[in-house]
Amino acid sequence: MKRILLFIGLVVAFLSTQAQDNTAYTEAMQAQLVLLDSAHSSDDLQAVINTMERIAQVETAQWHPRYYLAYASLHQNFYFKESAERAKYLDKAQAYLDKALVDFPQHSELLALQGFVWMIRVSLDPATYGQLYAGKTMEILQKAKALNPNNPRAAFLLGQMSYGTAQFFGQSTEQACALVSQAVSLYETATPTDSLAPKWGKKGALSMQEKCGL
Amino acid sequence: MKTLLITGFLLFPLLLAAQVRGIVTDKKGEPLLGANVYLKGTYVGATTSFTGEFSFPTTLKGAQVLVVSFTGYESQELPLQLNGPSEYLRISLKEAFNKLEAVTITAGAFEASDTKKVTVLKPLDIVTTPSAVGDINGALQTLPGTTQNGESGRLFVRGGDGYETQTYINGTLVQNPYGSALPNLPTRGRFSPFMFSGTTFSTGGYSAEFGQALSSALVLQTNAFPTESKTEISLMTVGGDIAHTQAGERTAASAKLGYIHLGPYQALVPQQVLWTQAPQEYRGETSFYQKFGKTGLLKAYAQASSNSVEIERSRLEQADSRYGIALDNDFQFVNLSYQMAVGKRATWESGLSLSSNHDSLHPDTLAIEEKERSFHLKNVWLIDWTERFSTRLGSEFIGSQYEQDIQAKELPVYATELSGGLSALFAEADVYLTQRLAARIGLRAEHTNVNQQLTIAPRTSLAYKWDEFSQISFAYGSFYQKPQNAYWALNESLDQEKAEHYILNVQRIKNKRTLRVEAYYKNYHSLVRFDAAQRYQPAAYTNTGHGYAQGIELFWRDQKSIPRTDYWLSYSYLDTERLYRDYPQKAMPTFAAKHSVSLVVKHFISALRTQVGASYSVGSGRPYYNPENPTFLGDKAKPYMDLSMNVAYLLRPQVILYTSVSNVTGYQNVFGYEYAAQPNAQGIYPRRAIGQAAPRFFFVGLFITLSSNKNDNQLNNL
Repeated sequence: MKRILLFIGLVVAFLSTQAQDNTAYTEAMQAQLVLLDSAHSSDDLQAVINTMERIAQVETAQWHPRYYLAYASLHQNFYFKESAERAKYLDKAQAYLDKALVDFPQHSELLALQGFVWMIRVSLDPATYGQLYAGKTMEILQKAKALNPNNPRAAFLLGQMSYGTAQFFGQSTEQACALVSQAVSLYETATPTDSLAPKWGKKGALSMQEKCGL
Repeated sequence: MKTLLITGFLLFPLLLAAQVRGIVTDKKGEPLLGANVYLKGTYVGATTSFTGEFSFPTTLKGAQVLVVSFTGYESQELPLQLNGPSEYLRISLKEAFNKLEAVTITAGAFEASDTKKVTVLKPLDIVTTPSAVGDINGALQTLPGTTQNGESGRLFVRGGDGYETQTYINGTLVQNPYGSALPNLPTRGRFSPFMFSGTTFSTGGYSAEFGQALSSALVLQTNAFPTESKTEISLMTVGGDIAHTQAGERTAASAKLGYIHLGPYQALVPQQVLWTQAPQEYRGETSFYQKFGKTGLLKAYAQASSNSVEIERSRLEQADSRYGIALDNDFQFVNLSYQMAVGKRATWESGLSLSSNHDSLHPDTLAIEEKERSFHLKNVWLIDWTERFSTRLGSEFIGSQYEQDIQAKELPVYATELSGGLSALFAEADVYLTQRLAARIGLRAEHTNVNQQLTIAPRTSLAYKWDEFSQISFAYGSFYQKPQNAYWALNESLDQEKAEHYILNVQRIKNKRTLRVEAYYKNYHSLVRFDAAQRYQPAAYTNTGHGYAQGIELFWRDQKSIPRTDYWLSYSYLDTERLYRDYPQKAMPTFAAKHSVSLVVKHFISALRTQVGASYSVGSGRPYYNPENPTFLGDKAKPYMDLSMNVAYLLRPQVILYTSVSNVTGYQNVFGYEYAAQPNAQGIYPRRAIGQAAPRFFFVGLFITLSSNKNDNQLNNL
């Protein structure tokens, strides 16, 4: 009897202490990343965002929560049609990114995500945002790539952006496609720095490569 | 017993875990789906379901803080005792105040901004308007409230004379915003539209911050700190310019040199004016940016330009005899502005502008020298007391010096001069009573040291947003402007002229479509009047002039219905009469037209990387003075019409080819008539139509950008 009580007591104690250490953080985040990947509505994403908000308010030194909060908010916009509605989610993603960039201004993944948010913003209203963000997007993606040449997302987004521009001007897409190929091989070879590091983008890069006829 | 005990122990952890349950609604009791409910400083929490309910277990004990947050609502924190059974929580959230979604004060103003959400225009719209040909004023003339005055080129707003519209750059006044032009030939703005990232064109009811404008304020903000170094080259049919920008982390500078000569163009394209010396201009511009500390930014801009032109006209009294009119102009302008945050809630803005303008006009044997120098110093404090209450306090001083020398052949010089200062204080408060209802209350006091006059001008606006997309606003204000230099120099006891505006505005912006309707009434007091026969006698000038203007205006813009097409339609109805200057009686002034309509259409053809645009403007004929008609200003010219088109072709990412043609149809506009001072032998006053310098104006330009960033181009510049 006493043993059982002791055992339960230990389990409870263990569970409660675990909440404070890093494994709890990693596990909690990993669980959310699984949910993030399987989300198929804006509400699903909102549930992930809420949980990550809770994690973020405790783990203020970590960049992952804020990164994925921005990433999930950005993905929420794809579930809406009306551009004003979509812009609200981009604003939300931007707000999370702004906070993250204050603490991690030179983080390759965060900069690449910023480039992605701007790309979507331009696609929503090219007449208004095209000139404002097109140059800035190229610049920040180049910076993301320079900070970490092994970041496949920086190479992929840069390739995608260059591809669109080259096509628009009827120029050769060779350079853009080279970037996409580079991204594809980086997706295969680059090892993530930690278990929570972003992994997305490979599928897009592969279909982009197909477009390139490579 | 044993089984019961074991079961009890197995359930023990769950019994230890208290359940936190409840519902989250808005103030009306509607459930909120997706709200975040959690214990502060822990991962423990849940998201509300579509019924607004939440429930989560926790093993935490004692005093905790429950946080409830939801986008668009004010977060709530409530203390919670996690001992024993917890009660079912009912939490209602209050909608958060959101300035971006809140009502905006729009009466009278057209704002073009990239940073604000709900604007009628974007900066790019101004420069891509076909009839503008790169002139800000040309683009603004397609908006309601303006009257096309083809022989002037200036902005005439709501029955106001050209001088009643003032231009402000970074808050300070620009004394000579238009280039000097020969009589009855149009001028252009002195500043390139590419310099500005924010434009507010207010046709009435503007903030107490802006003084010395009776009818309208054009408020321009220069570009933000440049982010990259580049060289820009423009090659145009009328000249060219080259600019270079060098951008660093905290310092940036740019310089631009331009030369315009219309000679070769005028030799190719038939002209209706006899140019003996084609318009020519040399211009140099430079700007400098310096960041200070975390938020401080100094912007400096300077321009120096020199213009000359000469034409010949036939004498009205004697058609086979001609006389020349020559004009030389020198202009220098400096604009400095400094802005920084002071603490978390306050911003300090300071500005200084200096300008010097010298015109030498030689009509026939007359020589008129006009020199004007001025400076404007301004300080503004902006304080956000709360999210919903902010104030703007400021002081300014405008000093000016004016000199005019007229010399007729063999007569002594007739010289007048004036120097004076104007000091002003203003205070204004913006109050959001709710997210939907806002008020702006302001007061402006001015003192002029020429005639020691003190004026107090109250200004106020109210705006109410009745649904997500629509709002109604009202504005009232009184506005003062000092008498025109030439009159004040003669009689320094003249008071400031005064106007009062009443504006009612309804605006709906939804789904890239904008509808705006505005009605106004404006009355004028203390306008300067004089007897033409005694124009050199100071006593002939009095403040006994007066007048009114009223009208209704419509603006419709649609960027949605036709793919890749954006169009806007403006209509203005204007009813105005005034007694001023040498008018013998109250009459509709020569610069006013009863009806004005403008249609601007822009279409982008992706496959050709080309934007094509057209603008069509029509206006009813304006009054002109006919000495043979006993009714003063009783005649009206024929209606005004212009169709302009442009094509911008993106040749390569960094090369743009731009062409435009104004008055495509070649319609002969007549803006009015000029009559001889005396009737001829037959007792008829000989006259001449005031028309266009040429039936059409063609423009071709190639704009090249050289920078490390290959995607940058001068599309912004078109």
